[in-house]
Amino acid sequence: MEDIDFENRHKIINKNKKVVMCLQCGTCTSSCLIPRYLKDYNPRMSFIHALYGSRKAIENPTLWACSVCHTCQDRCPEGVNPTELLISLKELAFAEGLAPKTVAQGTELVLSTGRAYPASAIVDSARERLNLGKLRDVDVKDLNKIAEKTGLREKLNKLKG
Amino acid sequence: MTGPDQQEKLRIGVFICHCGKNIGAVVDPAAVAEYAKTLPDVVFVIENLYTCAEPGQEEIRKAIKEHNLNRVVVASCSPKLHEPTFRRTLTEAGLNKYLFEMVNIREHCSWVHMREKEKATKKAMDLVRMGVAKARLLQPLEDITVPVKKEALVLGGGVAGCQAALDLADLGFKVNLVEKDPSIGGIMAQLDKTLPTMDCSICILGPKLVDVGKHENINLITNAELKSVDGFIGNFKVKVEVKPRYVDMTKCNGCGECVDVCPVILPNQYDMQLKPRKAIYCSFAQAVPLVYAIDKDKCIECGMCMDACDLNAINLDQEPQEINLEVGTVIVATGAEPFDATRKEEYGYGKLENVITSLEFERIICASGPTGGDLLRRDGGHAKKVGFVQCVGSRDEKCGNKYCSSYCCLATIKQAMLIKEHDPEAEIYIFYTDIRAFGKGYEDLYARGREEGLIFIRGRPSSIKENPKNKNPIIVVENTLTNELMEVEVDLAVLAIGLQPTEGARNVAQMLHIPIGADGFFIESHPKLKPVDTPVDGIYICGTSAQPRDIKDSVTTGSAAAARASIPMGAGKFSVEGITSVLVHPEKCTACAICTTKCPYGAIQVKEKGKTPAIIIEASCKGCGTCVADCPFKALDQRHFADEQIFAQIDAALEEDPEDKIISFNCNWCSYAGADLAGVSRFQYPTNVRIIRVMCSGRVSKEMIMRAFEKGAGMVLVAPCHPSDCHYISGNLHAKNRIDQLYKVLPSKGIDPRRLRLEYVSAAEGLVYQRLIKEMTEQLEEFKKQGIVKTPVKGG
Amino acid sequence: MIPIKQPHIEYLARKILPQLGLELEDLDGFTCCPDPIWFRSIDNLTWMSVAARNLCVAEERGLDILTLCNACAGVLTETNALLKKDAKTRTKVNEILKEIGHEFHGSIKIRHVLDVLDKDIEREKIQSLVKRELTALNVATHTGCHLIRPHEIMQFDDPEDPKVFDKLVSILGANPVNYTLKTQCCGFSMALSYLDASSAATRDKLMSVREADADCLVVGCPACFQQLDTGQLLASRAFGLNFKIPVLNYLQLLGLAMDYSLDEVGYNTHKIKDTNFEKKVLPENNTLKYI
Repeated sequence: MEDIDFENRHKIINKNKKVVMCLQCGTCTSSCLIPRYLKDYNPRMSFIHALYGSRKAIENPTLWACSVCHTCQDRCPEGVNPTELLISLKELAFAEGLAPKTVAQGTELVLSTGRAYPASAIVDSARERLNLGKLRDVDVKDLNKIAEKTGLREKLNKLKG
Repeated sequence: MTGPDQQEKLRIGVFICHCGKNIGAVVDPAAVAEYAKTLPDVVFVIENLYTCAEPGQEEIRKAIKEHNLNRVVVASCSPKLHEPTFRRTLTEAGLNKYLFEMVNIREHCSWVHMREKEKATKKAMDLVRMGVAKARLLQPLEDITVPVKKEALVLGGGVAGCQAALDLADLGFKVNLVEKDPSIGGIMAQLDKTLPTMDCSICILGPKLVDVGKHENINLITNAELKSVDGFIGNFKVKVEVKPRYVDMTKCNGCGECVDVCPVILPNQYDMQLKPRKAIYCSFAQAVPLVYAIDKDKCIECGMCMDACDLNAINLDQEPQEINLEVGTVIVATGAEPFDATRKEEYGYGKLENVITSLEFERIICASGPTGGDLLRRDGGHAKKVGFVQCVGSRDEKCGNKYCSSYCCLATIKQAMLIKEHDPEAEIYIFYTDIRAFGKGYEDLYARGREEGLIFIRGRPSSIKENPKNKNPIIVVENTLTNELMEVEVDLAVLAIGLQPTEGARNVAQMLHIPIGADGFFIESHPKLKPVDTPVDGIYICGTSAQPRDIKDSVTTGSAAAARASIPMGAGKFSVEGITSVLVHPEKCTACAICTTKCPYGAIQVKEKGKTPAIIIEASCKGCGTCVADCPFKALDQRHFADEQIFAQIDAALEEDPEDKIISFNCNWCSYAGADLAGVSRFQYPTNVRIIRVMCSGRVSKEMIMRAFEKGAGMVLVAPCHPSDCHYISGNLHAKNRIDQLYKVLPSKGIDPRRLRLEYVSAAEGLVYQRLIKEMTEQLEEFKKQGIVKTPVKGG
Repeated sequence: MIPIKQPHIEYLARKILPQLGLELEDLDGFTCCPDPIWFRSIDNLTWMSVAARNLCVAEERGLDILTLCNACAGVLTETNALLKKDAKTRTKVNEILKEIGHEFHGSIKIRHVLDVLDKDIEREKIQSLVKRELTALNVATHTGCHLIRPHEIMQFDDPEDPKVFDKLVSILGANPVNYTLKTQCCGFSMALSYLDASSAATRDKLMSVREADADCLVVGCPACFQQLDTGQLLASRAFGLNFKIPVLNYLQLLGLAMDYSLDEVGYNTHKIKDTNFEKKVLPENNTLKYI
């Protein structure tokens, strides 16, 4: 029998005050695409786990399949904003190293190149054929300054090392 | 307004209430009592456990007699609760009831400073000092009595309105029942059966409607709307416009020959557009009055009906008629509207042909309805598998209706049982989030529902799709008890819709000057103790106009409103509080007539501008004090809220550490009640604020605000009602103008204008008041740090 | 994503949009928007700040932003709206932006190209560019998710019953068809870690499109494109179904209606091709050329 972990519970509530309004009505889960294809993905269950401070809220790897499509947010009758709540849970999961490796890798790519996909000679030649000119230079100094200020850089480094 | 007779020595009694633990557990009543003893002119101080209870009141009466008290101060709860109680106590002891002042150390102190006991006690002492300071200057006053006409207006002919009208009529009062539709009956007339006993709705309602139509004391005015209301309790002047029905009510006998020949076919509102009617129609068979009406917009004026009518009852030239009524009381029973389910787009109502609302279901399942009681789908097929979706348009932030409509859980179970009655093999699903079975017999019906095999699935459907092959609705839901996604295909989906305020509610509220809550329904004076009164004397609310209700509660509140209305009508008179405006310095009045522009009641008049001084019509004076505050020559004052009295409260509040204090002028109807609500809700805020009660923010003059600053107040807050919500119609507007002007001159007086705030707080906004005080206190700390608030120079 | 993975869409935008009267300006300084699914989920504040920075770049030039991608439209519009509404968050983000010399004001708008075509360009203007009406073509439109929700903020179309995209397709003379899974998400987000589930979602979507007898599927987003094009190939293999429903960006369809060749609109780069579709979009007696 799992007791309620009040410390965790309060941590989550402080991040998203509206979570306490969740009535477990199930509108979010039945509105969502993902549970139809991934049996273990259930936003409503993630929220009750969150309310009880249970680690199950952040340990579920299927959390990362959410497409942030906002359908649950558009429909939640209590205004809980499930989209934001799920993002908060993922933030907590990431901080504990529970995110898929590719997510951190993708983020590092953006911070080092300013783009989500890698440039290459093939890309250059495809663009040339279309007379589009080279990819514009991107100054990533600013991006990295932001990541420093918000503490993301530190979090990424902690997970690397 | 001068103080009491020089001969009369002041003998003030102070009664400190514990209110059980409500005050006693936070504020130290003993310490406050000790402090009260030190105040000048206080000759008697005692603590009570519950001052409002009979023993407490007896103590007051005893003390008045034994100690010859001539002023009484009770420090306890909000005057909005018990000021009348204690005023009565004084009267019983032979003391004028206006020699009483109430100090609020519960809603405004112990309940909002629960974790700061020392500071709360200190604040209570300040508040008592303020109360005593005012008490010293109180004068005996007489109430004005107005006659009350023994005639009432009931707005709305649904079951609540009919009940109210019948009760009043049986009590012997004349009742004018105004209904906007051609027939009375309301939504109850559209229902098939009522729960929990499965009575036929129109069978039990019908006789009531007939009684209303027949009663010699009831003047039934149908097809009519309220146009304007003037006056005050006992003497409301009402204008009603009767829309033409193009049929002479004195001639039509309801034979219906006209209907047979009318060529125009239209959807029938009564049958939820599921059955046709003609342009000339009678809403339903049991309509009262049983007189036809013509839908002129759709009428093609062919004249066939006129030919068919033997009694010559049809008159296409009928004009709207204005009726003037004079009534003593008004009962608002204007009801509510069903939620428009097209607003919940995910459910496809209006697009998917086999998704219907619960009200349409009532018509369909009714034997006299469009299908003769057969549960048919749009394609004429029989529905065997039915899904009910609960909470449609209720408990839904996205639809703007956060409240629960209360009856729908059991209404659905009732409807499901009706299906089972007709077809025991029917498969019925109820998709719910909670089942609310609050009423008598409701839990039993819920149990019977389970016994009959209704399938309850706990989950709020996210959408309804359609099977393109057979147009079956498919309900998409997560079964939260089994953690499974379900797509349930049914023959018919029924949306259990809630109620919402009528479109005309805001208009009616403005005409009557009664408040509307955040949810759009009319607000009662007190949610528990005054469930059918409104802040306006003589106007009462009942039925679903105040909140979604079931029939029983509508009938109960209808009778309650009748009972309340019969009190002033039965007595034949009503007392107006003696807190009216008075021309204290006629020699100062220049007849500039500025005061007349501030009064929305026409209660102060200047016959000849520049020549004759102002005259006050006391029976019309509501005691807001706006004229007083705006008189440029200070010729006016208000009884019981005199300049001197309020100055005394300000001075008393700021005797110590004034720079820490926020003086808050709260109006009796909105912000004072809002602060009370903060207390009732236990919303905590810092102890810096000292509330001074005025009847209206319009009473707060520039002089009062400047007095507070001159005495060193850290900040001053004036908290009026929201624009267009002022109990005295426009007091808050005049307050705002005054303060806007004051902002311009504050810097020249060395006062940072940010120290003066005007913030709207309604009676429903306890949370807003809490946040405001928290924010202002934070600001005050900042101002103090920055040296913006300086302690006053002595004598300044 | 478009400049790197689908540059032909960029090419078409630059060629066609000026013909509709739109003045396009390239700004230095834009970065990835950043993506609303993974970047946002590891640090919401960084995500919002990077997005706000992009907004500042445009604000400082006083220009509205035009995007060709649903995610960019969603990310930038949502950030813009959130920062305008919530003073506390705005202060926090501006503190961060101050370090890099920017300040967010909320003075510009973000427009997805479909939104501009629907609300700003007159129907007749688009029609005037059409040289060959695609009357034989049945088109299933996929509006996607990030362009249309949250409804309160995006205000692009009715999420329960989207019609704008269909309208834009019919201007080209083509025939938009309704299909049961029209509003279903493409499933891109599952592809990262759960390829089977992602393929199953794509399969269901495509089966619904096939049932409606559509000749092709039209999208407004490069991620949707990849999921429904490359993903179509993967789904076909995974489930042994032979899907042959070409997926196009609206600009490609518009290009075809303007008599551009299949090559020019970049059809040659697609994983899914179908001769039936090709016949319906080309004038008679035309042969295909591939690079």
